[in-house]
Amino acid sequence: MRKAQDADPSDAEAIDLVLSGRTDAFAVLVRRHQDYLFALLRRHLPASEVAEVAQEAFIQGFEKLSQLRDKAAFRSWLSSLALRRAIRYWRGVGSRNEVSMDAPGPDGSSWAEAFMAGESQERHEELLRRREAGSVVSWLLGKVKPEDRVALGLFYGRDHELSEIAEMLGWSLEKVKVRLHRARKLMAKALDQAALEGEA
Amino acid sequence: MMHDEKEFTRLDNLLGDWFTRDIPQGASLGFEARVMAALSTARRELSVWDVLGLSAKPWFAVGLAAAALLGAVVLHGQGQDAAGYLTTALDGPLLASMMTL
Repeated sequence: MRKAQDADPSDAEAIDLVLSGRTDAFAVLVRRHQDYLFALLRRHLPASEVAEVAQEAFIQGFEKLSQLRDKAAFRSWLSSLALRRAIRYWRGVGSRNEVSMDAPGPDGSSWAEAFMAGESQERHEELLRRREAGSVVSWLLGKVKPEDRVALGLFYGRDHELSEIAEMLGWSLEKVKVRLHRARKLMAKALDQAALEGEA
Repeated sequence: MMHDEKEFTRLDNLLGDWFTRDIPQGASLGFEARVMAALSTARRELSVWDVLGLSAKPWFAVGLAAAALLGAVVLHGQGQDAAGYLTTALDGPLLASMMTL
C-alpha cells in the first residue's frame, strides 16, 4: 500500500496535475518517456540533433497538453510531435543531402571515431562496410520527401504497425501504404540505376 | 516484375539493417533537468502579451459599449428619419456619408 502511494503517478494523473498548475509533475512524464523518445529520434536524425529536437518536443507537449484528448496515449502523442519536428528538420536541410546520419555505434562513439581508433582488422572492415552502407542509405533517403523519410524509418525500424505509423504522422492507413510504396519504388529505381552505372 | 521484387529485396535488406542497427540507449545526461529548467524559466511565465491581452479585454468591452451608446445618442439626437440617413449616405458629401454609415 505504502509502495503504491510512493510510486510515480500514471501519465493521466501527471497530466491532470500539470494542468492544475503543478508544473513540476511534468518531470514524471519527461523521466518516463525520455529514453523512448531519444531511441526513436536517433533512428531519424543525426546524433547531434537528437537532444534539441527531443527537448523541443517535450516543451511543445507541455504547452499543448490541454489539447491532448486521450491522456493515456501521451507517449504516442509526444512521438507524433517529435516526428513532425524531425520532418521539419529534414525540410530545412532540403536537397543539400550533405548531412550524414552520423550513426553512432553501440558505445556512443561515431563510426568515424571508432574507425580512427582501429582496434582490429576485423572491426576495421566491419566499420568500413557499415560506413559504406550508411552512405548509401543517406544518399537514398535524400531522394525522398522528408515526411516519407520519417515514415520509412518507422516502417523499417519494425517497432510500429502501419496503423501506428498512420496515427503518428496524422495520415490515413491508405496514405501510409501508398507513400511507402512510392518511396521504396523511387529508391529501388535509384539503386538499380546506380548499379547499372557502376557496371558501365 | 521479378526484377522489381529483387530490387525491393535488396533495398529492404539495406534499410532494414540500417534502421534496426544498434543505437545507444537512454537520454543524454541531465536531459530531464534541462527540460524542466526551460519550462520554468521561459514557457510557463506569463509574457507581456499575455498580461496585456488579459487586462485589455475588459477595457475593450467597455470601450465598445461606450461607443455604441454614444453612436445611438448622436443618431437619435439628429432627429432624422431613415430616409434622411439614406439620402445623406447616398447623395451627401463623402465625409457625411461615412459618418452616417
